[in-house]
Amino acid sequence: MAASDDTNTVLITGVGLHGGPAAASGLEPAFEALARGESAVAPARLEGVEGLPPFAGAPAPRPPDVRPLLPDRKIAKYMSPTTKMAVVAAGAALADAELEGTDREAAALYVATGLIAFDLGAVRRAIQAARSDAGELDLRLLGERGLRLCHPLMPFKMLLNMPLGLISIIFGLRGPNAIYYPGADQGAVCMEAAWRGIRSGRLERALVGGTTNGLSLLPVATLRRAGRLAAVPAVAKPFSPTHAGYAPADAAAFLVLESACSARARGARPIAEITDVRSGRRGPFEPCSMVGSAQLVLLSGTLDRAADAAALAALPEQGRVTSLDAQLGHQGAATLFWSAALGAAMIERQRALPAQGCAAPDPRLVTEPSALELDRPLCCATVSPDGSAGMVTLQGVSS
Amino acid sequence: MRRVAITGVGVVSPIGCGVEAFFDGLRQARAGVGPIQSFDASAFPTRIAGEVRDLPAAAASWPEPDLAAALARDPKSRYGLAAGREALRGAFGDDRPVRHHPAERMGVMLAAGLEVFHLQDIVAHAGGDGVDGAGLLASLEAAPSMSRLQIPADLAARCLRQEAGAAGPLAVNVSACAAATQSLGEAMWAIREGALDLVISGGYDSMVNPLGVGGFSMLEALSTANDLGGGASRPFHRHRDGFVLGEGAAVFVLEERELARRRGATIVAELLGYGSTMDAYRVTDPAPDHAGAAAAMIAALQDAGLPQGHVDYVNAHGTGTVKNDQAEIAAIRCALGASAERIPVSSTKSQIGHLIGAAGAVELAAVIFALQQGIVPATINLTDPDPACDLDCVALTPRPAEVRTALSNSFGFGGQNAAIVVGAPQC
Repeated sequence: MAASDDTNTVLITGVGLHGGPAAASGLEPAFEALARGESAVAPARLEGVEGLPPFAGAPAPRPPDVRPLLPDRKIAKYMSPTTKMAVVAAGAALADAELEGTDREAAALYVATGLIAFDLGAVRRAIQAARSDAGELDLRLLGERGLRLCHPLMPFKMLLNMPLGLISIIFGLRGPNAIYYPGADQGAVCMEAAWRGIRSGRLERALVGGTTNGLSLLPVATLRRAGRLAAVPAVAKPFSPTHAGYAPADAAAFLVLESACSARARGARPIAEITDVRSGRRGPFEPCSMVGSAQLVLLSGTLDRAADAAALAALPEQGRVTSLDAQLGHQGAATLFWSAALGAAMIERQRALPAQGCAAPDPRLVTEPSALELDRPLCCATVSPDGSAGMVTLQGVSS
Repeated sequence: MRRVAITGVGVVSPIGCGVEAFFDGLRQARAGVGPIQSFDASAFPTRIAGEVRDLPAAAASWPEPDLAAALARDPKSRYGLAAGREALRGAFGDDRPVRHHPAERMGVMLAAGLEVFHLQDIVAHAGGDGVDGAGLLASLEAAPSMSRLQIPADLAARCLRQEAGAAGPLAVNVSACAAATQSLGEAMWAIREGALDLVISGGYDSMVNPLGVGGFSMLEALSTANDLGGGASRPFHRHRDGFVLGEGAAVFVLEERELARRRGATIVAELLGYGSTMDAYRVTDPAPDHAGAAAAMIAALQDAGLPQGHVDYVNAHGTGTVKNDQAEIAAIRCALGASAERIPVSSTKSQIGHLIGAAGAVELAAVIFALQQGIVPATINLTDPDPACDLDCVALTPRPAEVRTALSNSFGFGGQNAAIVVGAPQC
């Protein structure tokens, strides 16, 4: 149980989500939707792109409406879908934490963002204008007339630091900051930077989160090129006998982290304590072997049956494991934040959510909703086929 | 308190590849900006940049065909890999870092620019009504490697992690113009606070490509003084008209100082303090009150335990845009107080252009030059200073000076401010 008077204690005091099976941005409806077995993963399509083979994806429930959050509606012109999802989730986390005024202004901001969802539509007219008679790109034509046909704000939608800059501008955060890219392990990098800063006393609080627009052409093409794209929702289920590939997701999640002293001074309601954050690459399933006394591993990122088996092989004998990837899809840079939010909710409710479609005959797999203890740690771990991994360990807090 | 030593440096820049060549370029006040040669920019509004000219192919070779093909198509990743290798050689010679540090105590924290998009790969698949996804996928799948269309910006960082045998965190910072200084600052904190013992840090970038030059031209951020060639990058000049893009990389081996000493490493310099803030103002403009930039410098000095104004040199962000240069000079004055009047300030971008994600890293290498050589790099092309930029902006030629501590600034498009304090090795 967290020691509430410990200055080194790092608490989660706010959560904001975008994506997943629930339309709401709050943790409660997201958790309940998942508990009911609802899934965001479905046959997917990409707007403006024809001829793609069938694939599974987890689209956000609807395009994020950022307008109510903006001090100046013109700012929306600078925002890519990746940035819009980040802004919606960040705003929800700040509201959930009731973080305002100078407390908000001094907060640090660490963001993980996925691959650029290159807006082919924005450059299509320019490319057409720059096409030579032979059908190739002519840079003279691009310079003479193509550039003028691009949307003038196109560069802003491609700059990778825009989620960071616009969250700062819209919500008035002025503290230490960074934005990392592009995989799930970068979520652990963000969280570790904030967690360590708070534990060392250098920071009082931070907004941390990730955003990914996985359902766009280039990320989908990249997954397919690598043989990692699930053809149908039924195979995008970790620990199922047919698990084969990812269902890319549109998703964002943000958390407010703060010291126990800061939370107490503000009267903030803690959801969980973060007791450890790590990332690295010793072996693809290292997080499973590092969980120690964790009562449950909430695992994300396993690609296929072989990866599931390797994860189980690395898990301690007494450990239990679940995965929500079948319902959330592959959330990339947002993964660990979604996991941490849901892990916190599981501990708070003392209830583990099962892995949907899970049929592997291993007693450590959570196949039905089951009880959790408030005072034993839960580990959220994400792994990727290249061996990169990140983990965050959570513990309950006393009321 | 744990301290952070720099024990290896690698540089790839428009004025020379390798630390010695770069230092020589600074000493000679050489201009690295010239007509763009890497693609046909003759019809673009801006036709000049600071390009890397003399990087040997072997410096960034890679045995795996897929990655080698991607590296061949992505200059910034080649620069990052080459600079990282030079830094590791400088720190460890032919030895392996894992002989001195546990693999999980070694991390890679690098800044990178945008992913590279190859417009020529898209042309055939962009129709009047949309994108021919099937055709694009077929094209991608027929290609021999990940080198088609989109090359992830973390490529060089992953190569360096593998080469160094590091198993700790890999962090790829994409905070644009502030990214490299942020990476170095976060790496310093990670070592100082005991999370890691060694970090390969710095930055690599090249936006000298049709989309990069075209995109910044659309934002009217680039100088169009094409006829001036090497004279076009003019920070603090009365007639400056925007920045000039550059490309390159600088990578550093950072180690906990006592561990570095124990293994007999040569300590090049020390990272003493870091400050990071956001303007929370506008995407396109620096805040008019300069508060965010000044706060970053003040925070860096406080983090270093130095009193206000206690530095011997400021390497400015100094882009050459009208608003940024004025705002930075005002912020320096605000942060350093009365001392600002006597502290030499210069912008290395006058020589190499704006390296965006690599800017803060290559500029840290310039600061190390000042510390080691006792020479403050020049702001070349500063023939007619802007009266509003009225600090001691070391003009035209380098200046001999004793430099024990220095401040290096980086400010990002979007309002990120980062400042780092560097010191000569302490006994």
